[in-house]
Amino acid sequence: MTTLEIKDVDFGYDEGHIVLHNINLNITEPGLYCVIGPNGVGKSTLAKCVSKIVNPLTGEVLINGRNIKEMTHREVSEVVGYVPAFSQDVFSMSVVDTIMIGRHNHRRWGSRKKDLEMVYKAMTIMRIRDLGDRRFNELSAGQHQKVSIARGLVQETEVLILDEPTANLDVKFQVYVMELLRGVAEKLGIIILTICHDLNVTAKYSHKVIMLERPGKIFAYGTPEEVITAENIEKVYGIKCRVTNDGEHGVPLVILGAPIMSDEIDGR
Amino acid sequence: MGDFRDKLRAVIDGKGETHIERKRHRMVFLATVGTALLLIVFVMMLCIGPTAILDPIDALSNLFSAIGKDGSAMTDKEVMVFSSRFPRAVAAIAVGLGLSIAGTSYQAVIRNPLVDPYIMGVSSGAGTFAIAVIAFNFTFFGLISSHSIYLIAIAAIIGGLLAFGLTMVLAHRADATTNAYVLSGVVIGLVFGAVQTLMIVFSGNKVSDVLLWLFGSFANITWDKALFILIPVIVMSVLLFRYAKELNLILLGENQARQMGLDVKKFNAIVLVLASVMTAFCVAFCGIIGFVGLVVPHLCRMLFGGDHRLVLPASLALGGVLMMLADLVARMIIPGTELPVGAITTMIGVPVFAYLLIKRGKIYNG
Repeated sequence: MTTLEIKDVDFGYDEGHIVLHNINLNITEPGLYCVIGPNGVGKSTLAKCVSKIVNPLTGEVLINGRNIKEMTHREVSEVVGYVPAFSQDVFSMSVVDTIMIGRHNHRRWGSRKKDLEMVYKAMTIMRIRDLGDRRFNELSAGQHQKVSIARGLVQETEVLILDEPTANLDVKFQVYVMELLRGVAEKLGIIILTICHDLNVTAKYSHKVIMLERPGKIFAYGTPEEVITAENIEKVYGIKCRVTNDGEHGVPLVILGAPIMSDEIDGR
Repeated sequence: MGDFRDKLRAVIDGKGETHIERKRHRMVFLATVGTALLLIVFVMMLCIGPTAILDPIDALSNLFSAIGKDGSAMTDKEVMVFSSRFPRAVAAIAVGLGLSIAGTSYQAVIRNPLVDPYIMGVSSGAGTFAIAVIAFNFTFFGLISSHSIYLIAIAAIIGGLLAFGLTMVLAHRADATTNAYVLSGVVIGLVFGAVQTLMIVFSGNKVSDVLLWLFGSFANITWDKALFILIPVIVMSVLLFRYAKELNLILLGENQARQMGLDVKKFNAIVLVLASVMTAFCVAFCGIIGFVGLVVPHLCRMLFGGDHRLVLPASLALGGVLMMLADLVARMIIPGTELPVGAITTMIGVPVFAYLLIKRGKIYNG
């Protein structure tokens, strides 16, 4: 069983500017875990710490009990996949080639039939099978997102981290992607950690929610019912809201009210 | 003809094939057409020159008879083909493919289409040291004999690598990001460029020799010099070919590449060192030849897409062919005068580039 443990992690991009403070998190069950919180709270930085793109100043990240600091980038890439919020598209390749890069650790200089099958499968799941020959930079922002998620899926890792996978997607696809990620997590028994801004989508699809508050601390961790409450949202986001039950799935439904514009809450 | 054109189009566009089949077909297409073009232009290089134009059979038979004689007691024609035109063709291929592969690698690592092999200051450093030798008889404080035929070349290599080394130190002291590499290269290049300008001002009657070197030419290439360029260029190119897959990966950005298992800092340093050493050897004997290293990679991307497993071999073939053709034009267009080959590469390359930019340039802006 895959486990992900974050122990006493502090991180800062430069001295005197600490982004994450004493983050502790122990994930021992597969599922879809959503990280929520206001802008600039350190959500993406946390995702980067877990995927060894940056190293914490103190503390450790353990995957299946192994400290990723002691693993090579290659070893980490075999257990953790990362899909960034934005993809660069200088000298872009075809969509198939772009997704194929996700197989980097599985293939040699050339691509094998199995790699291609995986790529086609991911394209079918993401409903972009017809885009295979298009160049990546010809696509819309939403299509970019779908290609990037497909690239994350073909990496076949036990932990998959997605930085705002539903940004730029239309409503239908936001729901489709979250449903898909939940299904993938359950079916494959992997841990999927995603950063999300839509509280209702988070409430409906995530198994557990991690709510961050300024300055880069975990405010609450638990099931959507435990975390997505009017009190928590007001405190962390600085916005009045009403949280009811969605009536169908028994999950919280957030109806947003007026924002509270004060320096203390905006923190800027 | 129409049928052939359709088939050619089908190979380039890859209609009705699976992805792997298409890659394989393009690879085969590249290997056969690339080799054929290189061979044809290579034979043209042996046949055509200002002293005499031979037919291909004559040129090849003289070449083989000279090889049979092991280079001794050759006839005038054999000397012309074996000792003059052959090494010149070899050097042109080596420099063409070297600059093109270096340019392709630099552009991928720095992820910027405006980058050429001289971005890390290699040309400015090489130029400065070469001018020091040509105009001021600099002999590295007596370490190298002033009569050595390699003096200018060695000075250029040392100068090129010195400038590159300073660029790397500066970039690493910054934060080793791609922008740091580019800006450091530009700044170091400017410093050496300033020194170069001052030296040219004080070079007196040597100024035309200095300018001839700076413009680039294959006029004085001998066998020794051709091999001195060819061997390191082949070694560096083979090493860079091995990184084709990683060059694709780095296009996604450094964070993503690092997460996918690439030690980005180490990879950047290796590729930049290989490409810069190769560039230094390319400019050592033939001077600074522009355009090829910037534009050939783009031509190849427009023709074959962004996958470096195709772009690198395509750069090899096209770089070699373009450079040989340019040299042919440079020595033939005005009989008895060698024109700067860099100017010719630009004149040949620009129309081809403009045509492809109009036809397929949308790949750069979506």
